[in-house]
Amino acid sequence: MHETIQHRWEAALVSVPGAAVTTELLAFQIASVAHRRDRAAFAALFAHYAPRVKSYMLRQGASAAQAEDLAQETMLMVWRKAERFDPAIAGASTWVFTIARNLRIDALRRERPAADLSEIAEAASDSPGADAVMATTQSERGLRAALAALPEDMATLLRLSFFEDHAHGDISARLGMPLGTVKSKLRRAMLRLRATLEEIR
Amino acid sequence: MIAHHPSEATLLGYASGNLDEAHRVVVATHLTACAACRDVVRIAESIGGDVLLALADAEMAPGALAACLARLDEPFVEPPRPAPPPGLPMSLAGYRIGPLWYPMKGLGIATILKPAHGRAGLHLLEVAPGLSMPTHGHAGLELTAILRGAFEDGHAVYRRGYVAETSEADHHTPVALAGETCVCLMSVAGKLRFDSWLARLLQPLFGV
Repeated sequence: MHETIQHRWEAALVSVPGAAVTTELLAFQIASVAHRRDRAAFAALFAHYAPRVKSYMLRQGASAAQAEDLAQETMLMVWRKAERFDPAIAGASTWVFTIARNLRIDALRRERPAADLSEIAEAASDSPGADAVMATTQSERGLRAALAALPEDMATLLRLSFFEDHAHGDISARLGMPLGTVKSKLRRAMLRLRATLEEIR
Repeated sequence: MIAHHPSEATLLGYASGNLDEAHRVVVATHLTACAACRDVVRIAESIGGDVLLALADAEMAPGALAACLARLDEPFVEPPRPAPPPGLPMSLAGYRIGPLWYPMKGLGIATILKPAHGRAGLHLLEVAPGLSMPTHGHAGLELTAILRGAFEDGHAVYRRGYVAETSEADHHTPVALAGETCVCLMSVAGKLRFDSWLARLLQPLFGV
């Protein structure tokens, strides 16, 4: 009985056009793909992420054809690796971002294996319990709030870091800001975000 | 307690996937030993997630979803993870490391990634206790992860697990501490500017 209601609720969330897409819903859809091989949930994730991943690849200098391929490959990886998604470690968009980033790195140098942070981190820490899941959800929220509270120039620098090849030298040239200033602003921004996270913990 | 880490700018570069491969391997080596930097990378990755969410949609090719759906049942086996070379960290899994070359007594070098097309080079260095490296300046970022032993460069002492990060403005003379052979993994962008006779000897290795 409980399960039926839950199913209906899920179906409604997945199929209502224009329904608000929240981080929780996206995480839920990934879990649904992992546990039930849910194609409808996959299609919803595809609609949300594939165009953004393609956009990301284009901004990173990929050709239209490469960007399309990498976006599709990213979504296939979402399907294949859904069981490894752990909301205690990362939010849905963060997880998809790391998949897209790693595929781009692999595409840039096919012949060598990537040093995969997720596996390094897995080896270094035990699987988190329910408390940790709560804590991470809280720290994700806290982090968003902290990001939003950063001075505009710091937030802009952080975001720009994701799009420039040889990032900081280029940003420095583009903004006409000395490289040392770019680095110290990034440092202060990251320290502030870390302090916020530690407070929450 | 690790006292020297890659800069936040470098960790952001790692998280965003915009670091050269050579630098990425050195940072990954440090991350295996440093929980604090893993935290910074996590934070940076969630900024990546935010950046991804905020991007305007690009239009997917017609039939893209159908093409993906048709591939969902393809068998998928994750390729096995290769083991790292004996005695070296996991971050070097899959890399082949040739025999060390000794340009001078006490200094062994194996180049893992040659500097090419403006990309950083990656080198494994073995420095005998007490040996001084040639004084050099930098044209770009240099990261050194200490795998064994320790060195000092006049500013600080770097021990196992630490990373020394230097860039354009820096000019240093690393010296391996007495006692133990210092083994480190070094990534170098751009040309190193050597002052000594070793310049002519080492220049071809580190890119001209």
